[in-house]
Amino acid sequence: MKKILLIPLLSFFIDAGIIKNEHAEISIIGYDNVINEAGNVQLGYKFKFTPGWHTYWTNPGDSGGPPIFNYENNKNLDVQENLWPAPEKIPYPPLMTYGYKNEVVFPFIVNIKDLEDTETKINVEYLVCDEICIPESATLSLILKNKILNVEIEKPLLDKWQERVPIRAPPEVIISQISNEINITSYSLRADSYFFPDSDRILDFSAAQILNGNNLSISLKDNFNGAFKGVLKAGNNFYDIDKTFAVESASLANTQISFFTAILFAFLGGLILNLMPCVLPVVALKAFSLIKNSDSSRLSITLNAFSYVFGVLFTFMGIAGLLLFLKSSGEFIGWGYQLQSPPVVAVLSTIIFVIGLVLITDINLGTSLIKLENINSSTNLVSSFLTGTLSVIVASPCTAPFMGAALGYALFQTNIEALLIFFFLALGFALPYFLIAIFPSLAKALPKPGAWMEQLKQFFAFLMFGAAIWLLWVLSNQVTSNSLLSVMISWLIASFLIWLAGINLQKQLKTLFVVLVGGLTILIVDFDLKERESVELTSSETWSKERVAGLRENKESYFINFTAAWCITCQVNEGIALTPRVIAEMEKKSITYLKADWTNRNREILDELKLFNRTGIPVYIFWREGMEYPIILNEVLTEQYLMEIFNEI
Amino acid sequence: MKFRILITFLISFLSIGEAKVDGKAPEFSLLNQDNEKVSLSQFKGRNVVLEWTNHECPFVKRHYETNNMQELQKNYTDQNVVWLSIVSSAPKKQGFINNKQAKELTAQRGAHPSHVLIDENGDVGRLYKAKTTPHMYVIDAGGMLRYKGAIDNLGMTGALFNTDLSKAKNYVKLAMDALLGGSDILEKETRPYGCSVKY
Repeated sequence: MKKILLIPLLSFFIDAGIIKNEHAEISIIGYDNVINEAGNVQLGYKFKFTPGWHTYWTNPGDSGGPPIFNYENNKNLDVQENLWPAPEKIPYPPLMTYGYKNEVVFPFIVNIKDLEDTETKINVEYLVCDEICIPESATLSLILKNKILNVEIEKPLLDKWQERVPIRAPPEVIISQISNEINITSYSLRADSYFFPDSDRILDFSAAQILNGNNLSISLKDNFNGAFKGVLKAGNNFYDIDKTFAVESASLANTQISFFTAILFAFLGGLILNLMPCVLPVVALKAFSLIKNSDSSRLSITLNAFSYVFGVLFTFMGIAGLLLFLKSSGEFIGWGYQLQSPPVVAVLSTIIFVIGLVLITDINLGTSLIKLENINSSTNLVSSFLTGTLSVIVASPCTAPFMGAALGYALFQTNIEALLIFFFLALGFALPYFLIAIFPSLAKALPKPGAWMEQLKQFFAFLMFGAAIWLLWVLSNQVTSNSLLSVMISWLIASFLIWLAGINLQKQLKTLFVVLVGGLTILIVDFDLKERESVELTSSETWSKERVAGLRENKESYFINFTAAWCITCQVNEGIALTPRVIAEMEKKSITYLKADWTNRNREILDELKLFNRTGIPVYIFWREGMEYPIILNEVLTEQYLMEIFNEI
Repeated sequence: MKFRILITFLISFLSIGEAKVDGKAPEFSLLNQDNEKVSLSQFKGRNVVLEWTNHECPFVKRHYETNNMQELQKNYTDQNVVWLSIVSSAPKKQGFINNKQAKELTAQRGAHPSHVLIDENGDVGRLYKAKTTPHMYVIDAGGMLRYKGAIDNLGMTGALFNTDLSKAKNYVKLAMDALLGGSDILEKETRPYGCSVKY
């Protein structure tokens, strides 16, 4: 009681040191000016501007600059760095700035070592702006004399600005990235909510931030570097936001791409597809035949190249047509669907294995599909066409990594747009031959034929064996081990037949062999590929809609991993990010780990993915109590990223 | 990674009419200090510097009072570079000048712009997304935008006070010297600082 009475009396005697400039009055304020013991004292720099004028936050936005405080080194009166209360938006269309209008207090702490009389100076340089800006500066003196600091006592004002200093965001605030957008989810978001970024590499300052229910969505800039830092105004709360995203996923893993971008992706993806391990050998063989025949007539080269191009286009459009037909008949399927069918995988793996054998043994298989080299017979146009078909077939397992986004997009468009996207994919794939067809002289520019071609061809065989092994592994996740055996027996028979074709035997004898082998095959091999019941080895549970609903009802957190054996990105994520450490963390935080395995076709999983506006995988979903909607996590996972997500609980 | 760069390049190449570094600098025409029409395209074959300016802005003043801007202008216009000072202040707003005032200002400050261009409705400023004064752009002889951003690395408030401008890393100088010397521009895009353009 006594003290309260004393204070106004004492403060009357000290010089509070207000600096009056043209557009601002600056002073230091505090809760109290009587210092009875050494330690930290909470103070603030108070700026009172000409009405309507302002200064800036640490990130001023499109123009301006924050105040700069320079302090003397005084060990007895050690001035600490000031804090930055959350600013307000000060728009000057088309520009946007962040600052403080009329008045601001920057809280800071001074550490007093002992109570002896002392003085320290603080130099402030700042911009004060209305429509125009004026630079001003001031030198403030902080004086401790007779245990009294020369500060103004302004408790409510200091409190008011302390409350605007951002605090750690509660776990209820969830930040997620979907392609080039950031979504902030929180119950405390209001119509005036806004995210103030701390740098110019996050968002366009003048762009609108759209609030939809509990979700604030922010468009990212092209040069976003993954660091999502700043201050969130959510109702009357101000939260520090500091989150790091993987940058790759900002641009590539993009499901909301434009039609034009989709076409571009498809075209470039098609072009790159030529280099895929399972395609390169087939395509290279075609190139070899062109090299060997580069002396033949221009017309012959053009016709052959065109036949190949038509083969590619025809097959791609055929696949697209089939896809769209199935879609229109209600059988909605996502990309990668062909690998969900065990017979397709079995046949593909066998074809690729056989191509490998042909490459390494140099056996010419008569007039079959794989007759790739001889360009002189009249049937060679058909053979070029079929090579085109073959290369598309062997390419189909490789499409996902490059064209997933474009093809996923295509399936959401009208049929004409979807066909156009597939057409450009095919065009990109066929481009090298298309060029040769138009400029036959290009064939002469290819390297000279020689022994290297034979060696390279044999080397390519190993790429094919590798691809065949991969497909076999995919199959092993889909079918029983007995069914897998039948596929491997078919490999054995295929290699026997190739050997047979190469040796010198009487025709009748060969036919007899073929009949015998064929008969045996029918006896031994049961080609009915039996789908395997999925077996879980990790601590995850099998996903189901009912399980998710149950968890939500009990307010238990969950993490869903939509995956498949044939999805390479999924496998990489599982290896890199879903480590035992992360799985242990999930157990610790009682997050239920659900796995939705899409290796085989599954209508329920597809429907669920469609709810998230996806047709392809990987997709990772996380939900915990307090969230209205589950969030979609990045498509490219890291251990650290998951740990952060789970640690927000 | 290369694939991504390629895609980014193709996309940026095709999005015409946006001032993107390493993209085509958007074409514009404005009236100069002599009330003559000046178009960007007429300088094809020469390097061009665009300087957004507002003579009353303290950040701009600092560069003119220290002779920093004039020296840059003189140095490069002597080397056949075109220097265009553009004023996008709207009438009655800070920094707005008519062509007569533009001439007086140039004489009074001893400046060496090739042209002072009056952009009173701010169209060119908006086209280039000019945000601050100064805000600098470097365009090469082929009409491609090669640099955009701040004049130097002093940044924001610091640029107004004690810092010695001669110690600053001048991005425009670095970009121009690289361009004239035939080497790569290392910093192609920086954050501009200064007063807001008074649209």
